[in-house]
Amino acid sequence: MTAALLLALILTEGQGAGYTISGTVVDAVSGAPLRRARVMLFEAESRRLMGEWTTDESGGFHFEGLPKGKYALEAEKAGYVIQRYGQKALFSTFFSAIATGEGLATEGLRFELIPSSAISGTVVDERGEPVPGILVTCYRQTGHPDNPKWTRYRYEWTNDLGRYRIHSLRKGTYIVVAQGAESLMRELRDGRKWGYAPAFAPGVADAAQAARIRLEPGQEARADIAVRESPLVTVTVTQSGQAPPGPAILTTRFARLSFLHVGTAGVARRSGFTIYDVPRGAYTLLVSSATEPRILAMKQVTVEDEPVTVDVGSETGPGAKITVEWVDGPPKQAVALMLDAEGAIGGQMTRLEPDSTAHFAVLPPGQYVPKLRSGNRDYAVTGMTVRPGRVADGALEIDGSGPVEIRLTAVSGVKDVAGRVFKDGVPLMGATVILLPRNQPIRAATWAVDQSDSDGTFSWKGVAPGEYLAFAFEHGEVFDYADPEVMGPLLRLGQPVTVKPGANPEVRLEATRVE
Amino acid sequence: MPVSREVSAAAGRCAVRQSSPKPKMPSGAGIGGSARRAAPGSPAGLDGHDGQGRSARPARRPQCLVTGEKTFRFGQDSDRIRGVNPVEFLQKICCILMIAAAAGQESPARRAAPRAVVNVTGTVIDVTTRLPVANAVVECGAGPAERLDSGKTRRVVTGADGRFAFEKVAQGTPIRAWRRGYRTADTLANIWHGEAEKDAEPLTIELVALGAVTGRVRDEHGDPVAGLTVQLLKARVEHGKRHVRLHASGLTDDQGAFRLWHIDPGSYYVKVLGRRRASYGIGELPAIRPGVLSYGPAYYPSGARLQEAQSVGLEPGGTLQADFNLRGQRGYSIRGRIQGAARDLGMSVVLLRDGETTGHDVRIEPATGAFEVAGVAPGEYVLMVRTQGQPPGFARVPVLVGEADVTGLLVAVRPAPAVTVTVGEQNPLARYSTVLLIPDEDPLGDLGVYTAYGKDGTGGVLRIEGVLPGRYRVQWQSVAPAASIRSGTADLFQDPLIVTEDGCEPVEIEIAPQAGRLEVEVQGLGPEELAMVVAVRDDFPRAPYVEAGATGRRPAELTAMAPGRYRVFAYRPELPFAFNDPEEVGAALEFSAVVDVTAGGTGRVAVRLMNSAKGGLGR
Repeated sequence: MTAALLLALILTEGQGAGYTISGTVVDAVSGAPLRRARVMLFEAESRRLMGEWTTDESGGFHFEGLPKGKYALEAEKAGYVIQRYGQKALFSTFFSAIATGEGLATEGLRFELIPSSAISGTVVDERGEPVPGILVTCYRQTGHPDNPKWTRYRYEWTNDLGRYRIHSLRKGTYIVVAQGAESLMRELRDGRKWGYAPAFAPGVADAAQAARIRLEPGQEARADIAVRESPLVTVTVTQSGQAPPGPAILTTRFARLSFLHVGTAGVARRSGFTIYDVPRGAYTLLVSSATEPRILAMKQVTVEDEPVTVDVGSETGPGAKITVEWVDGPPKQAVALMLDAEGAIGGQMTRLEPDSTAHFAVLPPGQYVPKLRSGNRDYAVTGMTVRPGRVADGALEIDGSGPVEIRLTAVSGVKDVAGRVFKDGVPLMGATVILLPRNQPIRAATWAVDQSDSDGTFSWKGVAPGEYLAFAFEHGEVFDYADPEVMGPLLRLGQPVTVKPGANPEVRLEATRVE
Repeated sequence: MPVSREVSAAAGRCAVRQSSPKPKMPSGAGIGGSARRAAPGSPAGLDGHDGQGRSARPARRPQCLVTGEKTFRFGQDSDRIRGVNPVEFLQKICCILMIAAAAGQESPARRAAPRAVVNVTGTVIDVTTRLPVANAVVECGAGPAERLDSGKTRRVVTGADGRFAFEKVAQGTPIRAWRRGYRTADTLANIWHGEAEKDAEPLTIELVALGAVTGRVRDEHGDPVAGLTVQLLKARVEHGKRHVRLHASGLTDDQGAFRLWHIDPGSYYVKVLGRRRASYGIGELPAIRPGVLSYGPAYYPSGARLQEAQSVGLEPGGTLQADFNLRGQRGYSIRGRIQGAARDLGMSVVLLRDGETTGHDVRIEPATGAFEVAGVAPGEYVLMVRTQGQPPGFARVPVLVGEADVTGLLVAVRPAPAVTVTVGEQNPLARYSTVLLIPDEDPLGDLGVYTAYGKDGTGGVLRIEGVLPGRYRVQWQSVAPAASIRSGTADLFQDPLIVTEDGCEPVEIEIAPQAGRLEVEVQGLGPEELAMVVAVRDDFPRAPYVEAGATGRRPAELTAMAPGRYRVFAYRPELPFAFNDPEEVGAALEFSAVVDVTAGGTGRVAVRLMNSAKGGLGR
């Protein structure tokens, strides 16, 4: 640094002109600078827009005169999904804020825009003709690669050429499934309507044989699907002879913890809820509430070639009763209890009663992770029991054999724990930091996650006092840290951390790499 | 730094919810990208029909035929009318049924004979190429009154020769032909009017190939514009007024490309508008980012408004390429609060410019009534608010957008007034009548017509609730004609009914002491061809009009007409004539005939079938 430059710096600092955030917007894959990207700067906590800049062919942006604090940078450009600085993948829930202040480097940033990917293809019938109006859904792989779960992601319909294109996808491994019937009249043969049974690309009924489509950022993949015919029937759902209280859907499990929704349209009538175009198969019928995420009734249904009417009856169960015991007294605000579905068809949510109990009319079999929340503050669930059933890896395993009683122990007084990540003594940005309770199942809801900001700082919110293992993963690709199969082998990389009820010093973590 | 926890928890693990994202099948014309087939800006919940006695897509009721109420909802996912213009289809069916009924009355011998049972054979052809269509499914119902999906339907698939045959088909049995990529053709097994023989004359079923409209939207730099709404608008004539209605819509994808498919051939306006919020955005940062660019509205190939735009033709089975190059304009927000509306009822906020919807994103918070319209380019607009309820509420506020956001707009919603209709001297015949309020302007394309039925009135008084302020034509359909229709001092035979925010003077209908009839022979019409005949009053442009159908063989019978001088027009049902439009009437004068109708008498007149090049939808 020359003396003249040093002098210039001292002079500007002396005038209190504020801090500067500047850099270049580039394509994350090619590295080429991007023009006509609209870069927006927001104050991280208040979400207030501080400035806007549209790049020219150099891709450069420049904001100055900023007070000390943390900022979020967001960029929007034609052909890219809107994303934030430090975001590791499209639609990721974490990014890195930029901290301005003395001695903090906030200029010359490299803002990488991740291009999105797409899957397209043609759906053909048994005659080889393209089929219009078919619903194609893509599922994204989550969990451990050796034992994947498929999470429903996005869908499109085929057009008159039988072609579909699902765009704006993040990188990952996908499978696609085609189902439904054309919006035209269904072929009427032998007095029955015919359409297509769900088929996974390239045209198989078993998800285990489905083609796995690996998408890198910016990639266009192709997946054609050959669909198989099936008679389609109508399934009418009633409850004690009348219309059920909410919509009904049919689901079928096609892989570990993964479900297809079947039947493309349902209509509520006074006589019942009718689901159209259901192909042959064995399904789980669910009736949900019209207004909130609750399941009201469940029944197994087998569909063959004739229309079916299913009465879910007056008993809705098997349900669940949940009691929460607050170790340090219940919180003052209303608390929502969520059962996040891991291996079940869908999660549910309800409000805790003033006596800290809750009731679900129907709890379909599966694995659930209970969460207690007020506003955007989570409470720590430190213990759980379920009868009948079991607790496995911090999740409740429900087998659906009968009504269950769940008891949760929770802590209402939680803390925010702040820390900083270092690598070789230098603060590290963009590390994924995880806090897991020590000597407890991995998936207990007390884990907390964050991503370090440009000054290496991070904050875990809603942590109950106790013993923990902390992890800081450099180049932290967004991975399923909540899945014990994924996290189990990485436990050895954790650093012990104790969270005390009183004030906690800043946690210093050394970054490690995910193997 | 994390995004709010709610978002991260909600991602992917929602409860079973039929609404999220339960894919709605693209009904009717299919769509690339996300499928939608709804009129833009239709108020939430007021889904196109059935307010208080108000039908959105009115059925035509030819005067001479009582068909019973039929309301076809536009875009209704009904197989039966899929791919067919519902209004035209209903006209056709009314005519066909009427002709069938009339034909049945033609000769006493025929009237006495039981329904003939014949063997039906025929060919399915492509109406454009005149070549046979292979792999078409031809269905024959079980009987005249049976629906085609009753399970007793017989079905054949045509081979390369397009031929089909059914044995022992009763007269009046519906026959349907369909094939992927064509408009479904419905017909009845008695069109040939032949004698009751064992083998009928061969039937030719013509299928119309459907086409597609595709294209790309780019900005002034050549970059794709994603997330814009693309609409196909089609001119339709309803109650004699020409409206441009939404036919199909879609979205541009990340490459700016769109495809609207299975579109009936015809003339359309292709329009691009709005700036749909990318639904794939992230969490808690402001959902409506400031300074968003606004594109359109723009028509293909040029024009920002409907008046400047030309319609483009889609050939049967053709593909129309419609590419757009748009200049993005910096858009601003309009923010405000809606007052006076019940919070838990459906509410819609729509921005209009030059009488058309702009397709902007509007976010409403039902709890407080706060709203924001994003991405609005500078200009003059009208903000229209409609709420559900008894009666529905409305507000119309002009808004001027300059080079800055508009904030603090308070919009007071008022209840839409009721219009009272009294029928003179409690005439018992009023029970068998219908009153229609036909709006002069319908910018959102979903107002339809307000309808009240005489049988719902008490003591000769009908009440139509929730009428939006505007100008209307009052149409009276009854066995007893109206001698005059007034509202206060306004003569509604001449002037529009003006409904203000406070309503209007009661509409008073005087029944004419005696009715007349008219028989109209249509020249230039083949014996089996159908035409619609309409009679309007020259001297009273807004007096009730009377309609009926005719064939070359059988003249139209217009009954229950008030005595007076009428001008009569005849047109093909598939090329509707906007007889409620003074300009179009003026241009078609040479095809009209003038006739007097006397009390208790039957007038007779012959009129030339309107040339398809003039009037109708040929423009």
